[in-house]
Amino acid sequence: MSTPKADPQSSRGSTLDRDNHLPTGKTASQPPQSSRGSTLDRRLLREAAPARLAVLAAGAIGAGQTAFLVVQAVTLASIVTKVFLGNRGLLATGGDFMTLGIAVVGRALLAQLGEVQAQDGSSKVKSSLRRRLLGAITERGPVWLAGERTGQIAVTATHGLDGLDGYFARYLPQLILAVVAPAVIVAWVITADWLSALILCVTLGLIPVFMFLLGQEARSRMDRQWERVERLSGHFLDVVQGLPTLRLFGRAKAQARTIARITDELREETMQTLRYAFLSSLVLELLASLSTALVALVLGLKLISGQISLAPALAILLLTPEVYLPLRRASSQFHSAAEGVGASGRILDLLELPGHIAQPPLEPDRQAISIDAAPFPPHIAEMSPDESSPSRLKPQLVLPEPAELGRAGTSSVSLHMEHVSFTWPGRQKPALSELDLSVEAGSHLAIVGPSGSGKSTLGLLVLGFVQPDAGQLLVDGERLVTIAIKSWREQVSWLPQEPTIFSASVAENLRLAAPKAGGEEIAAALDAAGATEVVNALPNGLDTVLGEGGWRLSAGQRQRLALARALLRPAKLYVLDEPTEHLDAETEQEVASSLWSYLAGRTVLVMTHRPILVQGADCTFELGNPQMQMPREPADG
Amino acid sequence: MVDSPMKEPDPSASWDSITAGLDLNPTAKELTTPAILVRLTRLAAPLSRQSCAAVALGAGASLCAIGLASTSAWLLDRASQHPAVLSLTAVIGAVQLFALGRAGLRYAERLTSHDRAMRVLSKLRVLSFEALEPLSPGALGGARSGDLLARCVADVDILQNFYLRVLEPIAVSTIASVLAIALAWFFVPWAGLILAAGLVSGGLLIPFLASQLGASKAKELAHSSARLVADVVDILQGAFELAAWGRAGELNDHVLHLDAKVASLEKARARRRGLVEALGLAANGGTALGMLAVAIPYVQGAHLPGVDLAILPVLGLAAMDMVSNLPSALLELQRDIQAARRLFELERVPPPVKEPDRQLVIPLGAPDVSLQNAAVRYPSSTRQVLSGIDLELPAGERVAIMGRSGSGKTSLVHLLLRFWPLYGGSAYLSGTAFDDLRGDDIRRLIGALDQRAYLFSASIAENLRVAKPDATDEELTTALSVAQLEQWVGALPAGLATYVGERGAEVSGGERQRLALARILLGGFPVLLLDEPTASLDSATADALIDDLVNATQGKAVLLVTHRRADIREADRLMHLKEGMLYSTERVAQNLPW
Ligand SMILES: Nc1ncnc2c1ncn2[C@@H]1O[C@H](COP(=O)(O)OP(=O)(O)OP(=O)(O)O)[C@@H](O)[C@H]1O
Ligand SMILES: Nc1ncnc2c1ncn2[C@@H]1O[C@H](COP(=O)(O)OP(=O)(O)OP(=O)(O)O)[C@@H](O)[C@H]1O
Ligand SMILES: [Mg+2]
Ligand SMILES: [Mg+2]
Repeated sequence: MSTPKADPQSSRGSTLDRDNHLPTGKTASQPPQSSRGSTLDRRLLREAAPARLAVLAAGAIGAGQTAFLVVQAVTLASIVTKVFLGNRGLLATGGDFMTLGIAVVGRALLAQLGEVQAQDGSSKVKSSLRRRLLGAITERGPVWLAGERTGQIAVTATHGLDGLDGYFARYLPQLILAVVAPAVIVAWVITADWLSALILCVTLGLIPVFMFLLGQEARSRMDRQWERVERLSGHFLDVVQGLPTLRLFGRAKAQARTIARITDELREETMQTLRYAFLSSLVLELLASLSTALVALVLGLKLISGQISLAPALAILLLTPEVYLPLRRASSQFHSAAEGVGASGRILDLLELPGHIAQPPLEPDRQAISIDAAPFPPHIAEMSPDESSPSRLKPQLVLPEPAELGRAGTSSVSLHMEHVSFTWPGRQKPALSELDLSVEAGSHLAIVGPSGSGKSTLGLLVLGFVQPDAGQLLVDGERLVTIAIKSWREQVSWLPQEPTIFSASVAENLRLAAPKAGGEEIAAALDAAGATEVVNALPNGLDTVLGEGGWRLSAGQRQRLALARALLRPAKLYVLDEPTEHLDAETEQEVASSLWSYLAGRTVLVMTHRPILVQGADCTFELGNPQMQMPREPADG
Repeated sequence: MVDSPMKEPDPSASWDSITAGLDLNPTAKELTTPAILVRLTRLAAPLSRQSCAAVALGAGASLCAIGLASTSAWLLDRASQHPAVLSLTAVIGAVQLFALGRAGLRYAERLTSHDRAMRVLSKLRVLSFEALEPLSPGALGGARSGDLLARCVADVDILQNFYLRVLEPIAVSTIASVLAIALAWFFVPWAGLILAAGLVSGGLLIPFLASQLGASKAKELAHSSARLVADVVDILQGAFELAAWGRAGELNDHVLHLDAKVASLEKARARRRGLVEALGLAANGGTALGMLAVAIPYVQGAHLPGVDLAILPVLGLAAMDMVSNLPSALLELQRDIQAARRLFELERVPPPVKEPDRQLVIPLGAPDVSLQNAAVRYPSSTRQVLSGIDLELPAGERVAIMGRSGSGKTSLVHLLLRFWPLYGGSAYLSGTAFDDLRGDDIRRLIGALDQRAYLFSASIAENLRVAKPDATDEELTTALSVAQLEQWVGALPAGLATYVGERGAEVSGGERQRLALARILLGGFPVLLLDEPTASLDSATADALIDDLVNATQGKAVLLVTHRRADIREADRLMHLKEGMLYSTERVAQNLPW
């Protein structure tokens, strides 16, 4: 298979699917390359603030371990010397053996401690990043990440961040040790033999150069490697969810090849990172060998000329490789660290993304959210010091106290739209333009209009998911922007055009919209939506587990269940987007009549193209050209 | 009224059960651990030449490390006896050689083994996708797609540990251990024994202990981690509704709770890792210490030249270093096994439709479809959803099917697509029984518009070209015009390159459905099953669409499922599906039964 035409972004985004034209989607969220790479480690370390103590502890533990190592080497050398040159026996060296034993045990204990510390630090950073991401999704509203690919974010926020274990538990401690261990060891070597110490210092001087190389070059590789994993994940979820469609077109097998190709690319990318890491580790190893050999030579000559005694010489020799060991380890742990660093960088990038359709500058219900979702806000409140990016959730303007919605006791609200216009980003034609519409409290308005005329968009505006470019919405005469979005949504029940059925039982799915609903209310809502027969036909009734997307139901059954869920939610305004889609005429007739009577006295906005449903409304509003609102046609029979 | 007993509402509506998901294959017996290990090892078998090379390189590097430590220690001991410098050149050479050898071999070994491991992982990913493919949509429906994602991406990644840190290091250290023990034995037999004991404890006992320790909660950890993935998928894909209901915060809390649980499991694991690592270090130092201790009497008894003494502890340290990674690697073994189990589970789910052993070729020419007394039953229910279906769908004929919601129309379409098997009766495509045909061959001739149109996160053009990869822009435009989308696309700033959003979220419901219709038309199938092509359309658009569709499908066999009376005006026959039975209505014009 071949690509007839390479599309413009394919160089970067769409390498995924030359076979299948199933590409990667947007890469819009990628911030400019310069903002990654260079600042990444620093950003991550700043993120590691909760783990700073753990990092410090890792340093202290490393120093302790190295000290024990020195003791171990010195004692070992002294035993050998005493036996070999002093001709002492086992008993005479007993004390040394004791010391050796203590050093061994001490090192072991510190190792245990270090492991736990490192994991602690890593868990803290992971949790904090996850919490911030989830918090941001809630705070900024669903539109914020709507352009991102779910599979990518899901894998990055979970498995990807788990990779930080590799960073905090293996890479970082070794890196710290790479600074601490040489210092401790050289400090001892100076006291024993200054020439060896000099050799060590000179070769060690080369190490920062390597650190720099590792740090710079490799970091961009980490990002790239993670980008591949992400791309694979995003693609994978899309393909799995669209698998029936792929099978329909006989393209599922080809997808296996595509996946093989993507994972091969991932392998090559990984191998390149590794080749680089291993090469630097080879150079370090050669450096270590070289200096070991050099030290051995110098010591040997000094021994021959009697300038040094065997014990310190042997100890120095034993310790020389240990000077380079941590750094060598760090470069070989690089791989296990790469994914975590790449993933956390990506999350930080996401958090810096501005909401692409702005929510109101300050959601007045911030406090409300922070109270009932206790664990996350502190972070959001005290986020990092550089506040240049617009997405920071710092209050930008002070709004008056959120208005309490609705007069007490009323069960419906009125809704007015004044000259509302809205254009989706990237589109020329406005989805809604200069819209004037009013729904009196307790009345039922049907919104009709050709496909693409903006019916669903209107629903999103009412729910406050998107803000009009011009004009305003009034609820009971109050401007919607001044009402706390959360308390507004509490008054609204919304049936989206494509309702989501979660992998859960029927009852749980229903109660998602109305957690407090009791059995009778559920039964009434099911009845009104014509869903009672649907539930009764299920093997375990309300307790039947549905599976993702309500897979075991027919489309019309799913629709009725979703409608029942929307009806179950107590609200003053019902926004129902195509409530009778997928229903046959007969069922629709039943649903329509029970629906309108169930909703008597509530304000209802129903978007539909089905005449049966329109007939029951008090009023019809036609979107598109020309827009007009008219009272219900006189009943014709 | 609903019959089933009502429970009292629980406002905290435990997200825990909501996000638990369904078991993919509840009846299957769990794979045993040995079976999983064998399977994992076999997966690497086709690359065994590479594996052997990696093992040989690894063993070589380990031996060089031992040689380097021993010779340099000996060198110093010897030097302290003030020999002539020249007499040491051979040993100095050996030290250099070992040093270079160790570095070079280690480098080569790492590259080979990582490359090999990555290759196996690629293969695993493809295998797991291939296992998924025949299960969809029938046997996969209950699963959470986020869970499947976790299996094929995260679980596969986890298995790196097995290939990199378990399988090959065991082989390497076995070989190198034997040689190291022999060397120690050569100097002091007792030291050889102690080294053997040290290696057995450091390389076998402690790792075994580790793998036992790792077993605790490994399953819980694997499932919790996968649930995290699936929950984040739900949070993102259900974001609008969760926000509208004001329940996003709760779901977040649930996820964070899960996260805390995973963190505490991980911390427990770190404690165990610390323990086995400490034990390993202790065994390491203890072995060196023991080897030194037993050698001292030999030196005093003049059975061992004093100059060789330093070799023993140093050899011990170097040899034990080889196995020092095994304990922590084996601690993760149980996690690997859980990951592998979750992967291999996919292969064990029986596909709903069995592919035939022998394949017949479908005769050329315009295909026709017929069903005789066909029945369909879903495994989860006792009732036949379709029964006694007789249907002829010859080329050039348009058959419309109407029926109440839930009467089985989509089931009929899925039967014809071979997504579900026949429960009884028979089905033929151009005279060949479905049972003798491969599903892919059937679907080459029969195409369908799904009731729930799925668009991939890609551009309009890319979505359409799923049906026909080499379609020209003109072909795309023709298909779009039948679907009444030509004007709409023309007005888009990016035209055909417009991104449709994830699952088509950035186009309207009716546009999504019509894009899918354009796609299926582009596929050029001689038999078309259209499941409610006009469901999300206003009447005017629907009427125009049906008119164009009639023209565009001349000569094809078309099965049109619809709820709109207006859609069936051009149909040759109308059939009515009622409670799983198909009734035919002579002509549309005649009295309809409802
Ligand atoms: N997220 C989005 N990004 C960009 N454009 C969008 C987005 N959502 C909708 N649109 C566009 O805005 C226009 C109005 O869409 P909307 O969904 O409101 O139409 P609709 O009246 O509900 O149509 P239908 O009857 O087909 O559901 C359409 O042309 C659509 O392509
Ligand atoms: N995978 C499944 N497992 C069990 N039952 C199922 C499954 N899929 C569908 N059903 C049931 O089979 C019956 C027929 O479903 P089908 O989707 O064929 O109906 P339909 O006629 O297409 O209805 P609609 O007009 O609502 O789309 C329904 O009662 C449905 O609940
Ligand atoms: Mg719509
Ligand atoms: Mg159907």
